[in-house]
Amino acid sequence: MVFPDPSEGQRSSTNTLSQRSYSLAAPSDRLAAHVIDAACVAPVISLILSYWRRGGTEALLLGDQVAFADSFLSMTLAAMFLILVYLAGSWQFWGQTLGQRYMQLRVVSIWGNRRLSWRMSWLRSLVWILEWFLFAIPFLAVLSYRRRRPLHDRIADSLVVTLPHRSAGEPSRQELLLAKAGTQFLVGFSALVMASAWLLHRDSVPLLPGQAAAYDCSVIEKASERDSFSELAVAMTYYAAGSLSQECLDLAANEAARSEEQKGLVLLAKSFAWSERRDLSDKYLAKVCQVDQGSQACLLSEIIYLMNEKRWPLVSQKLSSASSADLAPFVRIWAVRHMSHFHLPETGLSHLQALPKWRHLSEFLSTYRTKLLWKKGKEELSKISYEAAVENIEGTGKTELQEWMCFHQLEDGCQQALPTSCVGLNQHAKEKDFRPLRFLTQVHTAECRQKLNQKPEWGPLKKIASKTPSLAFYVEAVEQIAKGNKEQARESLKKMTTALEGNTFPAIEVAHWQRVLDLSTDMATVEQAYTYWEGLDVTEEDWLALARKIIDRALDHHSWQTVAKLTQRMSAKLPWELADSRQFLTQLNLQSSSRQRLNALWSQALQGRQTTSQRLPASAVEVKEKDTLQEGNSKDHLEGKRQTEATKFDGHGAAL
Amino acid sequence: MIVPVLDFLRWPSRTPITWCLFAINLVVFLIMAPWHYEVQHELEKNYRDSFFLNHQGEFFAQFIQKNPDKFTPLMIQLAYQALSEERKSQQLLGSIALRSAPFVKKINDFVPSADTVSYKAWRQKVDKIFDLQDKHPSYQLGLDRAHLSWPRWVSYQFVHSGGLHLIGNMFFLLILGTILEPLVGSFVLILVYLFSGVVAAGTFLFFSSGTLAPLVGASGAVSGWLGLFSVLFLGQKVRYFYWLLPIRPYFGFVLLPSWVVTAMWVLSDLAGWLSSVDELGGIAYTAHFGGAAFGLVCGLFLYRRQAVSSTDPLVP
Repeated sequence: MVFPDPSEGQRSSTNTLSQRSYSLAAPSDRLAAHVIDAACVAPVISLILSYWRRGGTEALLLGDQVAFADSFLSMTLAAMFLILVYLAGSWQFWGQTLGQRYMQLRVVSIWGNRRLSWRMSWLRSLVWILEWFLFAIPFLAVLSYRRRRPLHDRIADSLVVTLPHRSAGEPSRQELLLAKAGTQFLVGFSALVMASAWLLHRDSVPLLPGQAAAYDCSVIEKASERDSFSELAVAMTYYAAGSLSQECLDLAANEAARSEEQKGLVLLAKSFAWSERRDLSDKYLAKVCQVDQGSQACLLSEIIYLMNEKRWPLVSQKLSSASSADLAPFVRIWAVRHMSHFHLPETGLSHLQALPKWRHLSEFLSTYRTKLLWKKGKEELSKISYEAAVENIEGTGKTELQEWMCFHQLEDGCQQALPTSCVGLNQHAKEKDFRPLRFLTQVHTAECRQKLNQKPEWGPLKKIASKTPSLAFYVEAVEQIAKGNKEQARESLKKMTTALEGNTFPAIEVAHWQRVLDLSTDMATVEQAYTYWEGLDVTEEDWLALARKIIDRALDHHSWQTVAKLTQRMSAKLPWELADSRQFLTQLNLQSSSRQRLNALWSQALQGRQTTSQRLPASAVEVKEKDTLQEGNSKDHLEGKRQTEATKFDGHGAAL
Repeated sequence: MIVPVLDFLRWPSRTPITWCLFAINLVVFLIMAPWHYEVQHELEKNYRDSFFLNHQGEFFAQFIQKNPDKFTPLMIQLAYQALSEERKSQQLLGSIALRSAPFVKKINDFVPSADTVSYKAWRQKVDKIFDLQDKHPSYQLGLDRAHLSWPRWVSYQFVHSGGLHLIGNMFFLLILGTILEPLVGSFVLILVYLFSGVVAAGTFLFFSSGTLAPLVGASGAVSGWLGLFSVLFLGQKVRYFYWLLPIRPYFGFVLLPSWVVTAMWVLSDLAGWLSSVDELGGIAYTAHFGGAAFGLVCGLFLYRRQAVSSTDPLVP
């Protein structure tokens, strides 16, 4: 049975609110009516909207965000318009929608118990739609408002009525509670939705603009257009400099593969792009020289092989044997990195000079210029380069350079005024963005301040280190060292040695062992550090730094036998085929004082063949003998020869 | 939520075929489920490999570029984007490549422009995926253009790709079957079920010529029952259950015309079909249309013969 139209035959009626011939509809019936509407009308609407839906799906697949937004907006507006027409038309012409018809409801005007005028129908329909944008909260008034008139009813002067036996009457206590709970739930839910949307939006904004720009694949094309390099060569260079993602490199390699050119370089690029897949990466690498013998890609693949096997001297040899003028930029980048790690600044700087001045290489160029100049002993020039670099670099690259500079400036000796590179680093001393080098720099700063009586800030450092026992012991040890309490410092370092068995940061482990060696009073500690060094898997720079310290300490303890033993053990353990221990010591770039001591020991060894042959590593003695036989016994001459050989070996004059 | 409750579900003694079909579908699903999930998991693991996905996308894009006449403009545009160094398009193509009939047909002859290591690694993975597909229940019992043996035209009707797929189909199978079986008889009902499934599969194969995705599920056959119902119950009112909140009076029954069920089903399918992209797979809307059309014809035939009264309400 369908509820009769109250306006029929009463168009001139003057029914007023006081003359009730209707009953207020129950909220449950009103809701059910809309569910029926949705069931009946939604398929029709979705059919009409299918054109935009398909367009939206296609735009989404093609990644065309403008077209997708266009389709989405069109679809939303079209859906709203169709709902508006359906509701307004139903209320104007029939006084009820399809769902309301089946639920025996009717929408009437409060001014005369009749159908709504067209204006009010459209207004009611429009407000009804807009209420959804307020998370449907206004609809809950139907449960709490005395005459069950939500916003759309009040604006359109309407009522929803039903047959007397289905009347809802005035809101019950339960309904009031339901309205309250519903409002709270919807407000909470809408707040949650908005907060999530805000968080998602916030995360989508790149925090570091420099970083975001660095991984734009189109930079390859721009550089390639400017110079005569192929796009893949540019991509390889940018990737090596840390300015390009693996994804961009892979895409550039695919493009080159399609043109079937630079096959060796394609394979090499693929091996870098898929370096996380070790098996595949190795397969690519192994094929490079097979398809492109003698090319720059082949040369770099051989260098990478040697680097993977930690055969650093051979890497140096390989780089120096290649004609420097013909080196491709992507090989030069690797050369610069290698020269920087192994204290070969002259060669490193010459490669750096030869690199093209592409915009996205500027960070690499300025960073390594600073580092190499510092290593060359040109501290002032390095500082100038650093100042220029930090002006132009953004993001993590800048912070890392600051940390590096600060660390090295402090390592050079404590100064009255804090170096400019260190200013600002301590302001970021927060636990959540912990970085080993920054932590070490901060500890170093506090140590210097303590030594200079400048109110060191141990408190924040201890707070950062509080959750990791090894870090806490390290801070404690350095504090004691700075205060001159060596015994207590040794105790703390001993505790840290035990704590290291858990997990910590390799750079901090190296720093710890360096401190241990600095405070060592016996050879047992040096041996212990050496045992640790044997199993170390850190950067070449850290690895060499610790090796240097071990030899230095052994020399400090005047334990020639231990030096010989250690170098021999080091040689035996090393994966590469060292010609002799001396080469290794050359590569270590020992401090000049250590070199002098070692030279003195060597001289002693040469003076008394019988006694030294028992102490020196056999290979070292052989080399000495060879030198002596060929060049005579002149000490100065011998020293000059060693210098030449060392230079020849690694391209740098770190002689013994 | 609103669902048709055409009549209270009748007990198996009164509707044996409906419950039998339900039981078969359920048993097949339960037997296949562990097997299905194991192989599916393995397949998905392979598809999560970004190396494979990227390279497959790259090679598929090259294939589309060389054979544009076999693909839709959308696929050609996607291929263009994939070859213009757009990773997302590459990955999308990579994920659908092995469903493309022209690509799979020529996969052994096609040699993409690529380095040998990438090509070999991709081929190894493709062979592995084909092996896995051979073990997959949906590929073993489902129907696709490459496997058209006659038992598959029936077997596919009893295989489902997941729990939700089964629940959805069985819900409508029980609702429609329990009302139709007493009316048209068990024999007619099973015939309509099986032949609707066959016609649905034929329609699917006709309209989806470019895909090798297997067709599975009872929805084509159940669509046949829907067509039958639409004719036999034309002009009658049936009972619907609505559920708004778990408190009275926010749930209950309402009488609505029978066409609401047909409209909900057919219009939704039509909208889905018009807005879907064939290459992505998903719901086989065309199979639903074929099944529903066959059921409709059967309904017209039975309506004439049995002269079901349109004024006699089945549900009070």
